Amino acid sequence: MDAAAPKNRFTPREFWAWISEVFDNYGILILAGLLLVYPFFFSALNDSIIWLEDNDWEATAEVVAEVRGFVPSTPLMIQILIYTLFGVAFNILLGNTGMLSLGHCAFFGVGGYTVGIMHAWIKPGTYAPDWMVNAFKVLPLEISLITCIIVSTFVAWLIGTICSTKRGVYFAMVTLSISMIFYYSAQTFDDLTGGTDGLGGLENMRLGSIGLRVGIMDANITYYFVYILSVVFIAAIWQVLRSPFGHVLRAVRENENRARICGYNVAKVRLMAFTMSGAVSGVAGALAIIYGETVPIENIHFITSGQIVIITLFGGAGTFLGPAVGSFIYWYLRQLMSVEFVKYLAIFQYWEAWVGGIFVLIVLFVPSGILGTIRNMTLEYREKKLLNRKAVAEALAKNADDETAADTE
Amino acid sequence: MAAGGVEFSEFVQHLFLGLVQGSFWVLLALGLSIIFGLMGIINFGHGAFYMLGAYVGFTVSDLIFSPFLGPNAGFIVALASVPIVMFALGMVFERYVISRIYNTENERFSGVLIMFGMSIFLPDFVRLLWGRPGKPFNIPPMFQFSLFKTGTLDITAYRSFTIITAAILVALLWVLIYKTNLGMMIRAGTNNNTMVKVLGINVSRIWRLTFGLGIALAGFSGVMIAPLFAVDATMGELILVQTFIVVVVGGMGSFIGPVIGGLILGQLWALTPLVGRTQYVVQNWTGTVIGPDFWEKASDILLFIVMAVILLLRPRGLFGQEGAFD
Amino acid sequence: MPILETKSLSKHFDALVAVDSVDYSVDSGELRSIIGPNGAGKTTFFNMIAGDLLPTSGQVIFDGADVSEVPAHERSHLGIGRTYQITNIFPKLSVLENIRIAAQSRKMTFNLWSTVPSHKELVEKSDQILERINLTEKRDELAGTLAHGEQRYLEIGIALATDPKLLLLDEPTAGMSPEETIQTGEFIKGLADPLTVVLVEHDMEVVLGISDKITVLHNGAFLAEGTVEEVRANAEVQRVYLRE
Ligand SMILES: Nc1ncnc2c1ncn2[C@@H]1O[C@H](COP(=O)(O)OP(=O)(O)OP(=O)(O)O)[C@@H](O)[C@H]1O
Ligand SMILES: [Mg+2]
Repeated sequence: MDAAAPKNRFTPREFWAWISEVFDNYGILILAGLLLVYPFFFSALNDSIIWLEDNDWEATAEVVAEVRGFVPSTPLMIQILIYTLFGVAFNILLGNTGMLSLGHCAFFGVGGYTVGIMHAWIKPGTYAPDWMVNAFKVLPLEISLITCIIVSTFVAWLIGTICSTKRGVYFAMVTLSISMIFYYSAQTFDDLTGGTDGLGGLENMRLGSIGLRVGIMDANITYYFVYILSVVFIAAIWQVLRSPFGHVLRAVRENENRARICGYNVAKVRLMAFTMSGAVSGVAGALAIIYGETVPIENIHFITSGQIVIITLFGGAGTFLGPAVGSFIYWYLRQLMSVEFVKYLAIFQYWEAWVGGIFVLIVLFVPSGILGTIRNMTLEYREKKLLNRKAVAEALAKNADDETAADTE
Repeated sequence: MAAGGVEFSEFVQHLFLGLVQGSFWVLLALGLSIIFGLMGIINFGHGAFYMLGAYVGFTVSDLIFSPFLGPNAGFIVALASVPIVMFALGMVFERYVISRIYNTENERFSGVLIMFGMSIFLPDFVRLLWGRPGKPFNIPPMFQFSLFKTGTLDITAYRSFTIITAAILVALLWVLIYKTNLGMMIRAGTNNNTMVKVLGINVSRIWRLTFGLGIALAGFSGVMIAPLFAVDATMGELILVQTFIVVVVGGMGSFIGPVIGGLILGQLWALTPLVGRTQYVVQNWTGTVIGPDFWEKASDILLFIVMAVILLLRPRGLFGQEGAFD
Repeated sequence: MPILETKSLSKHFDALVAVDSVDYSVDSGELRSIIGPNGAGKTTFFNMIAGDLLPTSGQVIFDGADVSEVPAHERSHLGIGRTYQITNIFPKLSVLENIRIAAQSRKMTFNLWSTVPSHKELVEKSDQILERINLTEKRDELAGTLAHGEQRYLEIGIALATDPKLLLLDEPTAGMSPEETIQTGEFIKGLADPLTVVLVEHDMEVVLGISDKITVLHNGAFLAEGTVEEVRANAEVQRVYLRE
């Protein structure tokens, strides 16, 4: 009997298991690969329209141009990448540690303002002291980015310490409140931050080491700049979440008391997670302003926190790549609404109402998010298959037993 | 006598303004605590419903009734009808939205997130219905006089009216919470279904009433504050955060906490600008970051600092129960 | 030398005196039981030893050092392990993960740059413990889906994985069938020496069968202590507890 059993047969169950394992383990690589070539794809689309026009295929060119309206542009992809990074960082807390922070706008904003303020003011004839101005002809981005990481790490550590005695919904409330101090400070110190008008004067941001200019005018360069940094930080977070520390985070999420009695300093673990999350969120904030060349004060308003919660929940807080899916859908829909749909229906200009409304619906009806729901379905499917096989095996065994019993009689 | 360059009348004037501001915070913070006490949900939409109350009040008074009955009566009608409308709205919202999440996984997070979603949804929805610019909302003529006026001191009738109304409401709430069955359940600070069920009460109705009550309080505060400031879609944002601060500082799970917290912070908030006008600051700090200009705008920042200090030194708040709020 | 000592340890919840000035001492390697009627303060006593609750007054001395104010996670590192009366595990993690997370706490918390399976000793240790609590076959199932008795064993496994010197078991047989209860009694007996075990238990058969010494608490206060025979013979104990 045993010898006849086929080896290495690929059952559907194993196939599904394999697919979802591949996605769990290598989804990040697949996605990174696709995104690596995205600007080429989009330029090819643009070029094809020009080519069609040049060759008197006007009608076809028009159709393709119409279609292009529904293809996310490279700048939109930059935005999506930045919020993916932000969401993945945010999800260290929500999905993995079970902490709901509604104050992440603070880090996003502080990261942006740090870079923004440095580039806007380290110039001759401004607030900056002479030695600072003399040190750089043009302040290199590397310096401001590193400063940004240091500052946002510190801010995250500080807020984390202040909020460390709170759990669950109180934590949400306290983080939201604390984060708004930064908003009102930005409003108050408007000489420095530009106040409600936003901070401008950021047109000339360069990578000092290679003299490359990044900003809104050079979409492709900016895309790859954002891409590289996002991939590096997302990969780092991915490693952290599968490290022993990542397991501790999930233990704290599942049962804080048990984790403590197992010997983990839960307060310290939570603070560490919070600080990491905040630091990377700061980087995302910096990328957002580098791409936009201005720091809008909305970046530091709690609506930004709301955005990232929505993105993460929508994609699936329990999954690593959920925020990527959420970010794509969120920004793509928002773009469609404000550019395409609004042509037909004026109510699409009220996108905050849409965002808020859809958010409520997601919480009510798709609490696990898109990827989470898909994964649950896969798991259910696998479970069902397993049960079926068990039942069949048991039935067979029972039959065999009955037969032997009948034989002995 | 207040120090240096600040006149005594100016000082009293700011005390008065602080009392007005504090009264509103007390009303909102109590609404928040009541909902939280029974249902375990922190209402992140409290500011949004407060804003909605102001808009509903504007519609009732300026658009519907004032043209017929005159501005005084129109305002009175608004003041009386807004709580009713908001109460009904709150109950409907509880029935068709919030009640769906009871007994689901992560019930509390879902509740918070739904209310947070509303705080994003409602302002824009209001812009959709009422237009983007804010609405002017005048002090009704019958209140347009001063009870007392000398120099910089001006105790206006309408502000006094809000203080008195708030005091009456707080007293009524006290009776509700300490002298009724509903209050007993709120004080028990539990969303423990079974316990309340054992008492043989229709739980879902109680929760609906409570939620409606909290929303009604928020809406009423909104319409009452409307004549003091313009009505605007973002008016609920700052005050939501301020209310949170009051609750954190005062301590949740007690009645006295939000009341004292609101009053103290109201004074702090109103007196901060005076710091910048004292002789000491004018003489010594002018030209620095914390010069007179800073203090004019520092009220809100100071509130946050107080909250941070309280969180670090006394996490349960001034009057909070141990363990009830962490 | 006693491994655990308490000196006039008390806990008050407002007016209620849950534990009333208890002096207690356990020697290394002993298997001790604490019995007492419902509400006697047994769980509260455990909570103060393990650090879940801070005492109102009195001292907890573990391994010669006063740990009364030491936070719970540090006590775990000193060598106090415990289980709870109401099963307290990580229900949504796999059985293996439950054990591994506990074992890992001895080695590292803030290790960010490796993966868990790469730590061979961790894997081996978890496997050994799974073997001991007889759950090797269910290692990949979610802990929350196990049968009640298996969950109780899993929790003991979690406690064992933290290499305790002193193991506090709060009614380990609660909710088990009679056969399971007897088995568990044997299992616990096997744990003692070198491990020190303190057991809170309602099942008299288990208690009488395996304990070196029995302590009786009543209304939070110390009532009697002694060998099985001594406690059996004690008139006062019989009055409050062993009546049936
Ligand atoms: N956190 C608490 N707050 C208030 N009272 C408490 C608390 N924990 C326990 N008590 C009270 O202290 C007393 C002792 O409780 P404890 O749980 O220690 O008893 P026990 O001996 O373990 O009882 P059982 O056999 O039912 O487990 C009880 O009256 C209980 O109600
Ligand atoms: Mg007990």
